[in-house]
Amino acid sequence: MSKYYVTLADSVTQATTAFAALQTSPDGSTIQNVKVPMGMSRISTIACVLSPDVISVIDTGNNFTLQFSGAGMVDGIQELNAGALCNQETGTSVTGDLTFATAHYRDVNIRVKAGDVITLAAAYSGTDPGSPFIAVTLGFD
Amino acid sequence: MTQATTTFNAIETGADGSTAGAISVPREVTMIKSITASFAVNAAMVTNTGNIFVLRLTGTGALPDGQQDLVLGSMHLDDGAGTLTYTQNKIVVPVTIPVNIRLTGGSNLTLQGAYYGTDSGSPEISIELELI
Repeated sequence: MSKYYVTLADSVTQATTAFAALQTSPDGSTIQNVKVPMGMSRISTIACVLSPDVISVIDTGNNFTLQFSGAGMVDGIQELNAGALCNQETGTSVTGDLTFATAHYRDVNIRVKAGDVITLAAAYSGTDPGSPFIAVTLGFD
Repeated sequence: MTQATTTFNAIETGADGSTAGAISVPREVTMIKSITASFAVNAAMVTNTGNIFVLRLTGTGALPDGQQDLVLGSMHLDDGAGTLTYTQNKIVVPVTIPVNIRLTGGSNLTLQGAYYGTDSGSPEISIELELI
């Protein structure tokens, strides 16, 4: 459980095993970095959601990793698992698929420095799946 | 949710169909203890679209720590590149998020929803707040 929550996301357009920053707020504005709110000393919750927003690239599977860096990270750069996407097809467009996923919230205990910034980035393993979205919520207290 | 991508709109329809507007926080309440949410498209969903839904908590003076955004979940309909005929049925378990968000008793709390991704039609979103 956390007191204060921030959400960022982006379309993952980069090549495999390359980190790119997540900088789009849900209202469409760009946030270069997350400034650790005053009075907060740790990230206590992290939530992740993945989804393609157009046609999935068939026969691809990817594990996603989040990276936290910046002066706000007391113990330095850290990387966390963010889940996976997998799309498989036999034949050519033989059926459709409707998928729901709820956000995965989990407790963490990452020390941060109030007033300093954190840069959030994501990377994936495997074959380029297109440009799926990844959204991340950070909970501070 | 009829708005464009990455745009917040108010979530203010009561379960009985009334327009509730902002939530009047009872005077004795000091905190949101949990948030539970679900979402679904109540019409033909646009094929090959996907969304990630986000809840915004806002309201003048309602949140001592300020406006906050929480991700809820995602939805995707994929039928490849062909023109297909099929039926899909999903029963969606809501997501419950334990939180510890401070509230000001007697204030007005506004819920807003937005999504990342491609417009899928007009998805509906339902939010439950546990206040203590």
